[in-house]
Amino acid sequence: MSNGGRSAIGFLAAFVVIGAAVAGLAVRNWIEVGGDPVPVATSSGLVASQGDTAPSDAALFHRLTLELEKRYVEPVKDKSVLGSGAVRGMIASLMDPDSTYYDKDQWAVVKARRQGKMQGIGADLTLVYDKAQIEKLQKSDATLDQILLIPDVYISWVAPGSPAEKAGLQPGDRISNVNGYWVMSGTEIDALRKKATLTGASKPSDAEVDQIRKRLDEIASKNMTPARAREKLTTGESGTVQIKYSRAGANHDATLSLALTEIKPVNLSSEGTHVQISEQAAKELTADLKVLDLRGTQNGEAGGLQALLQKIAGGEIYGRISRAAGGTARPLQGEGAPTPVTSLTVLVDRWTGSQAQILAQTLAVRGAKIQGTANGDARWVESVDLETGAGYTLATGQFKAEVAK
Amino acid sequence: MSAGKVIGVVLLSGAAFAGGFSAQDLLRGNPPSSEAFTSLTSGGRKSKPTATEVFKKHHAFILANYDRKIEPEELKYAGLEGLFSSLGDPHTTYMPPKLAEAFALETRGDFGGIGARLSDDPLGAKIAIVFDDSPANRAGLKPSDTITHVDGREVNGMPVEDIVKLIRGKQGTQVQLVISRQNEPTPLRVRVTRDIVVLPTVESRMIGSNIAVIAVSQFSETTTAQFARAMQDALAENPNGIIIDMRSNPGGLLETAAEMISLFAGGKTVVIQKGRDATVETRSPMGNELKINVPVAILINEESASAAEIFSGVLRDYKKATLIGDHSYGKASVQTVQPLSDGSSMKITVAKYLLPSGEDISRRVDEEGQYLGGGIKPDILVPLEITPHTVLGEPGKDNQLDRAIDWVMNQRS
Repeated sequence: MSNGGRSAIGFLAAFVVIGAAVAGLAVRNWIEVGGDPVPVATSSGLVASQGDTAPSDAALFHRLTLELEKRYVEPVKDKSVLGSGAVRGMIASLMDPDSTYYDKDQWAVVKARRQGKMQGIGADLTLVYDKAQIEKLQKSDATLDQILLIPDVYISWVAPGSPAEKAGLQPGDRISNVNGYWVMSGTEIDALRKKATLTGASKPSDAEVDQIRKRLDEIASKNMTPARAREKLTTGESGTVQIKYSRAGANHDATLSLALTEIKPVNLSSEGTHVQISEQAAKELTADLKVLDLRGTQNGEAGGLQALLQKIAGGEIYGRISRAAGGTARPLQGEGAPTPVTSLTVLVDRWTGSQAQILAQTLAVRGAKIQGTANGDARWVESVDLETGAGYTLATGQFKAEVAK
Repeated sequence: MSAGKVIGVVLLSGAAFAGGFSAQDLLRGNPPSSEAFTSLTSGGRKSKPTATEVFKKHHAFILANYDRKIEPEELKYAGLEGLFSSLGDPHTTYMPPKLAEAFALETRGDFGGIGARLSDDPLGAKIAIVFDDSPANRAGLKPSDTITHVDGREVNGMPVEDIVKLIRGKQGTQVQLVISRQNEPTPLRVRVTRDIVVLPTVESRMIGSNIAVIAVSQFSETTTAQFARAMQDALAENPNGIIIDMRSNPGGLLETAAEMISLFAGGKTVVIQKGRDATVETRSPMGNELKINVPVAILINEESASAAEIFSGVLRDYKKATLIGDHSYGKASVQTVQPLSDGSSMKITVAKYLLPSGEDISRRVDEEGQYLGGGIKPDILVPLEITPHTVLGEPGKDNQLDRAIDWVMNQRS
């Protein structure tokens, strides 16, 4: 693998040796037992190759996989986690709420959901991020507030006939606790610390600060991440789950069963027709539709979105996708005859997902009436399957609807 | 084009491939579809792809298709970080060059600080200790002072490690702090000139009731000598007892822990390390034993890890000390740290260890990552009472220390 004998760290070794000497530390091979890692020179032949030319990306990756497999305290039983892990790391580095990695089990849940099979409490949950902080994160802005990066977990849609519906949950309910674990929330922690640091007349008493410390301690000692909370409520077909949620400033408790709730691609309700973004829905929708209810509509397969858009626009160009990374905007079009939509009303709300917003935008430029306000994020999101059974969503551009003059 | 040939193209020029494939789709007026992409890669394969193949393929795909511009190298490092953390071991990690360098910076000799130990606080960072003869001391900072702003920037809510990074800087430069102090109605503005701060890892003093308190903050190269001296000085005072404070000590060198144990018990087994191919027994050196005939208590908490746990557990097993406080962290593994030629660095767990009694103190967590068990259990369990007046290390303001003092005095009566 690497050259035997002499450790070949080259330039870095010399650098570390000098630095270490200045710090008054002897340099030798440390077997580090806990604490923070300290990079040191090594005396035995280890990883780095001679020559210091940057190896090709894949060769480096390959070499490090071999190192891991050889040296890790236990043999790596399931090697497929290594590749999935690498993808997970890459998607996480995008720091983009619209680009998410899902492990094998969760990806199966996501795909079943897209087929209309909902596990868990039968509700969709959305993680709401502070957009300003996400921007700071992506721009490596040093004034970024890590706490405000933690999203809040909200119910965004409740399926008819689901345990969530039976328990009276509604879109907009914020989940604060699942099975005794506090769901970390950026807004809650921010409110607490703001209260603790008020000055002047509003300065909190010692007792109040103590209370805030205790609450933060309570959250710190038994918590779960927002993503995990969502997982817990959307996985499983048996058993129960206990939650605390807040609605309009008041806190509530509920115990719900976990079950399989089936929803059809096209659902009629008293308020309108709700769709699951899918090719099947595109087939089933008819031209005499009066009210399309896109409130709380989650993303599905990009192919399903395409099918719906092509049904509306026929052979005309219906929009373009442009990448922030640059390049020409790609026009999108289908074939056949367009569907007139001037007598259609479309309902949207803040929980309308990005794919449904693309749908709404396309309908709007073609004369449909839009009621309600979405959060204006018409990003095109693709799904990718990994060979290992895991998968991820990837935002591939911003969509802008277009209509031929 | 057969699937095999196209895959060959993928492996050679990932980015171009992804773009080329998209172009085909675009001619038909469709955006690249994931189904087409995955069918291409799954068709015609006979064996499972290797981790490297998965990495390569998706690195190229994400680079070519993601909305925003990304640096290929940053993405590669992210993939490597993901590779290491895929084992689910928080101590097996990869640090890309920038991070590894920032880390190395902290061990170099020319960074400057203010000479204070900080702890977490909702308002920012609370000063726990002000080192003697330090810039912080000279500027009039006191323990319990809370730093709310650094160079004009609000720091409440930031992890204390990040606040420390803001405060550190080049020797001779200045940093402007805003301090909130009890009984002061308005915040104080303090300007501190940074200086080289050599972190002492052992601090000792005598407290009322003639008890020696020796606080050890980590197990570094210089700790053994400092600790031995502190023990000798303490014994010379003919104390009622010695309290060794190992709370929030994250560990360090196993060798140092073994040497410090040898002051109490020489030539005995310290840990049994079980690696993949070998089992190694580490023993304490001989010939350093001190004459200790006073009660010894060791304070531990959940942030006492690794070498701190070994030190405490071994002395307890050989009946040389009584452990008081909270259970410790439960880090029962050994890592090697290796820098790589491109400036990055990797840490891999290579062995697990057991205490001489055979006890495995590995931390166990539930599926949410919350503590279930593991760590060293103290002989006397005393959870820390957190009040606005709590100051660790100060008798009367630290209920764990107070309990240890009570224990020592009870041993004498």
